[in-house]
Amino acid sequence: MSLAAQQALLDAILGRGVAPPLRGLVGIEGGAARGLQAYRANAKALAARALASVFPRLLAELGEVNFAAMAWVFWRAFPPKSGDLADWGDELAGFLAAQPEMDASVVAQTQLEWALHEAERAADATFNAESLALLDGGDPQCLRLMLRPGTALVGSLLVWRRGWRAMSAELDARTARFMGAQLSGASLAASLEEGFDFSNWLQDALRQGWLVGVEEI
Amino acid sequence: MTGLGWRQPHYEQLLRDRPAVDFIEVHSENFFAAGGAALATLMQGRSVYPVSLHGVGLSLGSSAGLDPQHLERLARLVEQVDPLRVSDHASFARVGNGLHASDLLPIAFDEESLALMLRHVDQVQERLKRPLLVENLSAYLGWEGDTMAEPEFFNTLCQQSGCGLLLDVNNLVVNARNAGFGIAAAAVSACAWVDQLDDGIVGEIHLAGHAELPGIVIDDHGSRVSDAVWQVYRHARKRFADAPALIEWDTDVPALEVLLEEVGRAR
Repeated sequence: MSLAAQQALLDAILGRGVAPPLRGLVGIEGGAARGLQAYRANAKALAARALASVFPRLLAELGEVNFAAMAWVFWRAFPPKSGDLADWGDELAGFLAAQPEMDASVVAQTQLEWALHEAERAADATFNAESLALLDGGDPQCLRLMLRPGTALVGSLLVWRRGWRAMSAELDARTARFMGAQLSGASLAASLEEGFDFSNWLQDALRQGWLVGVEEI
Repeated sequence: MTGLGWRQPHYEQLLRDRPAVDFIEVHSENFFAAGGAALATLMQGRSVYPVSLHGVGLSLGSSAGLDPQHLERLARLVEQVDPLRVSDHASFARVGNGLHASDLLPIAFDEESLALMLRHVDQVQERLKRPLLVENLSAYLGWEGDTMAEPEFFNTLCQQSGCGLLLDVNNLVVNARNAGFGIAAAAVSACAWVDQLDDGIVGEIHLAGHAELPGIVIDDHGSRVSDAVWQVYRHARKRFADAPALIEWDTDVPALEVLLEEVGRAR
C-alpha cells in the first residue's frame, strides 16, 4: 500500500481530495462512504475531547456546540503531528487570532491555557539548594538561574508548576523583563536592570518554587 | 492472568482500594510527557500492580516510516515502567507530511504491507530490546486488492518477526458484523478466524464492548462485553489458555465495580 494511498485516505477522512481505492464492507449500509464517515466522526469527537481537556475556559467561553465545531475546523487546518494528542493545540491561539473579529482576550486566554498545559507536562525537577551558594560571590556574568521546567511568560503573566498543578500570576513589568531574560538563557548580569530588587525576587522565587537552582555558564 | 485497562476515572480508586486484578494496562501515549502527575500516578500504579503498555500511536503500518521521536518516548517509558508487555496495532496513522491521524486506520493485507510491518516491528523490538505484541484491528473500510487472509498475515508476521499477536476478540466480532454476518454467525466466523492462527502466537487477549448502531457496528469500548464476544473468548481460551486477558472500557467509563465484574467473568 503506497504512501500516496495512505495520505489519500487521511485526506478523505478530513473531507478533501479523492478517496483511494477503498472497499466498502457489505454489512455497513452506505458502503465505503459510511465507513469514511465513521472515521470522520471519531476524529471530530477526538478533536473536541482533546482540546476540551487543555482549554476548559475556552470551552466555557464558546459553549459545547461552538467549541466542537471550532475543534474540527482547527483539526482540519492544523492536524495533529504526533501520536500523543497532548502535543496538539499549540497552534490554536494563532489560529483563533487569524479569525475575523476574534476577541483578543480569547486569544490571550488560549495562550495561557496552553502554557498551563505545557507546565503540567514538563519534566519534574528537584531543587538544588547547594547551587544557591554560587550567588554568594559568584560572577553574575557567569551565572544563570535554573527555572522550573515548564515555566513560561504569557504577556506579563508568569506560568509555572507548583506540585502537580500549573499556576499563573501577574508580574510587574520589571520582573517580567527579568524573567523573560532568564527564560531566554541570558546571564544573571545581563538580566538585572538598574533598581531591580533581586533579593526580593529570590525570596518570591523560592517561596513559589520558580527556581530549581543556579548554574555557571 | 486477567487484567484491567486502567483509565483516568479510576486512577485514584484503584490505588486506594487495590482490587484483585493480576495486572493493569494503560495507553502508552498518555504517559509520554516528560514529567507531571500522570507519570507519577502510573509509577504509583506500577508499585502495586504489574503494568502492560498498550500503544495506539506507533503507526506500525505506515508507509511513511515510524516516527523516531515516538519510538524514543516509548523506549523511555518502557525503561521507566519495565512493563509486562508492550503492544500496539496493525494499523497506520502517520503519513508523509508529518501528519498523524490519531486513529487506527486499516492496512492492506498483502505482501507489501507484511514486509513493511516486518521492518517496523523489527525496528521497535530492536530499540525496546523486547518482543512486541501486535493487535488485530477493527475496521470500517478495506483496501481493494488484499491478497492475504488476515490470520495468515498475522501468522507470518509473528513467525518472521518474533512478535506475538494481541488477539482482540471484540474486534473480530465487530469486523464479522460489519462484513454482514448476523450476531450468531459473527461469533462463528470469529471463532473460525481464531482457528486459523498458529499455535502459541497469542500473547494477550482483549475484551471490550461495541455499539450496534443502525447500519454499522462501532468498536467504541463503551459497554459490557457482548455475549457473542464472550463466546469467541471462551473458544480462544481453549487454544490459548495461558494468554493473559484484559477488559478494556474507554468511553462512558462506568464504576470500577462494573469493570471488576467483567474481569471476574473473564477469569
